[in-house]
Amino acid sequence: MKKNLFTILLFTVASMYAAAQNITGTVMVLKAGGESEPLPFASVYWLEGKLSAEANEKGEFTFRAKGNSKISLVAAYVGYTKDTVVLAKGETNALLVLKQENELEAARVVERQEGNYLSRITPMKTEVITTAGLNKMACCNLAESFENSASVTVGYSDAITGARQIRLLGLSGVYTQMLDETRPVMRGVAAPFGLSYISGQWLESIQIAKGPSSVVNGLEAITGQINLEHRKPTAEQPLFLNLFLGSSLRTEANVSSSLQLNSKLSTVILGHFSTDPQGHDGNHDGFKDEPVSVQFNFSNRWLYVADNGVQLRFGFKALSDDRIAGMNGFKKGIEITPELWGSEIKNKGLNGYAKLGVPLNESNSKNIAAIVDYSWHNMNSFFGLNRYNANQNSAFLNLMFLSEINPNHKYVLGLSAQTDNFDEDLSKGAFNPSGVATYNTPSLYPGREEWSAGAYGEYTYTNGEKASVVAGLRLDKNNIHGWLFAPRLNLKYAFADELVVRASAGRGFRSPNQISDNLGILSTGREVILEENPDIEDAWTYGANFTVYMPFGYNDKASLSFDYFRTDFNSQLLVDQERDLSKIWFYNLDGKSFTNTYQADFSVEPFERFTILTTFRYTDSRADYYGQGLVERPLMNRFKGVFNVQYATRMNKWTFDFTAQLNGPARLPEFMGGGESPVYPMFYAQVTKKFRDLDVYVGGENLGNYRQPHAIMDADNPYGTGFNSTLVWGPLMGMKLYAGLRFTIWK
Amino acid sequence: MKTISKILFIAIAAIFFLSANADAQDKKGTKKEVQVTFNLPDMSCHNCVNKLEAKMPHEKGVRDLKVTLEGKTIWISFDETKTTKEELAKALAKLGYPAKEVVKK
Repeated sequence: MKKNLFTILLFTVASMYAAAQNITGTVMVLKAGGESEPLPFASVYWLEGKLSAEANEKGEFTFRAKGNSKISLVAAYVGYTKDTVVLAKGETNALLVLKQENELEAARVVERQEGNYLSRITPMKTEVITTAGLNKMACCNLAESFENSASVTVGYSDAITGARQIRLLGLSGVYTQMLDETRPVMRGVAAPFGLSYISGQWLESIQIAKGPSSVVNGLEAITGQINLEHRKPTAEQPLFLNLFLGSSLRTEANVSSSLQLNSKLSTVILGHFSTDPQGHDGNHDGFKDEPVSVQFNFSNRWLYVADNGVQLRFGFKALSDDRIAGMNGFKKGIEITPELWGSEIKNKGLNGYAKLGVPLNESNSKNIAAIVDYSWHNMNSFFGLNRYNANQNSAFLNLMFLSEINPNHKYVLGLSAQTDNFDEDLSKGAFNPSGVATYNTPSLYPGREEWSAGAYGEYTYTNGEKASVVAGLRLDKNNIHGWLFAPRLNLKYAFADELVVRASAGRGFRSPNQISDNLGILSTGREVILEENPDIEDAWTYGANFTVYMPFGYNDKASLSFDYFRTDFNSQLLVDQERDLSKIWFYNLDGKSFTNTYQADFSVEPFERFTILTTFRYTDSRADYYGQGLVERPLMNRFKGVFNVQYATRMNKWTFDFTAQLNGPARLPEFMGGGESPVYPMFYAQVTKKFRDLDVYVGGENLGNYRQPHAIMDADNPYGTGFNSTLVWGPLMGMKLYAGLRFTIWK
Repeated sequence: MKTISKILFIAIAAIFFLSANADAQDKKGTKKEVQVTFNLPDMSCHNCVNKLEAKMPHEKGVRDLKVTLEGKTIWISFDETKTTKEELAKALAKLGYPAKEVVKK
């Protein structure tokens, strides 16, 4: 069952009893357009006989096999997924079908049946959220796609802007590298609202890898990587349409169209529109709980596969997002006054990329790949009297050489470079005697220009599903922070098919963006004291995991998994609101900063089409803050438990989902009264009905209608020092009900 | 907390009631259900599975189905008063997957 996670495979039965001892077969390749054709010169291995052969120019091969031995055949060709066929007794003919890999990177996990699962095959422990999982929740955008995961917690960054951030391994999402099909995305100024700019309906799957992972994509993964796989140009869905309406009148439309123009060229067009027209104030604090917003987002991705195996992928994305937040009386186009606190945030972004893969020999055991990516992001905003305008230009280049020595050993060597130009302007205004805001002060933060270039090497040893070693090294030169050296190691060993143990260790670096990483600080009345010379953040993460697959439940597929991860910072930029109650201090860590995270996951299907998923995480996250010593990081929920049940009737005509979450306490700063935030539950439910080509769903979020009381401190005095919207530990919105539909036309 | 428990209870009860009800509907006519397995030589990717799983449930008389990519097969349980193996094979061919019945020996 698990093999098809990775391969496209099948067999043809030539005869039930073998006349000869010769095993023959053909290796085919499945092209982008859906046709298949013979794949010449692929390598074919007979596992039990330890023999290998090469297919001829017609894709055919022959083995001389011994009498009754079992015959497992594997066909491989670099740039294609492997295919494994186990011949039944007496079979002598095999058809192996390889598929062009969706990615330049070797390990891709795409499976649509289960909602969330732990991958058995990847060297890093990888949690996969599939389309089925994404469909369990209405999943307006990426921020809402992690409700069934305890690994990832999503919370509001502040109570004003609607910006959300994830937390992985008990640390802010800035330490998690976000990848769009292995290209780093959501960096710098594009980060604060980045999760809202990826529609859940655009995605095919999400892979969450905790720990240091691969060096190929740069230095920035400290707590892990989250990779997003979009709908593919090769999907045979000329039209997909999703419409969504929430009880807060949030309206959303998503459209996707995958078109295969010929056997070589295919494209996918992705569109998104959403709006929150109402500034609802459910907690009656005089402030909109969520901004009034309008977002347009468009992306077009292309795939070209030439006859000689060269693959080219390219595409672009454009987005525009306007938000109006603040007091209920504040509307678009009006000025703030000493009585009226308001905020307006305008984001615009453009991204273009190209990825090229070129085989260097006929067997494609050696190939080169290049990735270029360019992003422009502009944010124009004010938060009361704090005005923040930022313009980011970033370019990324990655060149790699991949060589597969044999199926067990392969390596990647590469060069990569990243350049970022952050042109930022932060100014603090004042009201003149007639109540008009004026800005005469010089910019408090000029932004920076940063580049880094480096070389890396990564060696992978794989012994089927039994064992793997991924060892990587990276050395980068950074124009501000000098030389950066990052080794990373991931090990996997399967003691049996049912018991998989993994361990990892590695180092990551990240250059902090003082304002954009902490945008919420602008929605406070405090003075911001920035660090003049922030160190590059430097951390080691170690982890271990074991996963047991147990033969009970329907399909004998229950799994139990335990994780432990530790992140140790050598240097970190701390944001401290407790040092001085009239200021927010940024300073370099002087002392210790670490997190320990423990997690257990259990999934079982007690009977057909009824699945239970439970997971529990405990985090201990501490840092040395000025004057306080080593204390727990504030506002970080200590634990999270998730219980999800799903029941589907035959053929998934009806699907019922229910999720309960229990969120643990977080340390509250003294100025909030000290102590801990309460433990609170969250409930989600959804029912989906499948019609021909149409799914209709209705559901609710936060059914217990729980919300953090007084999410904005001193809301009555928004220009006073005590005004603070960053002290968020719980949900800001009460119960939300929604309904939606998904309409698909198949080719 | 009380309201929360109430809502939780109602939600779970609703889910089980609805699911039991939906299941009961499915089981009507179980007596007349006949199973067939077809081999689909042209089914070669996940996308094909998705397409079959999306389309076939809405063919007349189809009560349950399972698609296996490894074996290139589709198992269908159907109501023989409403459709026939030939009709199902025709529907599969129309979707682009000419089908051949797998006969157990």
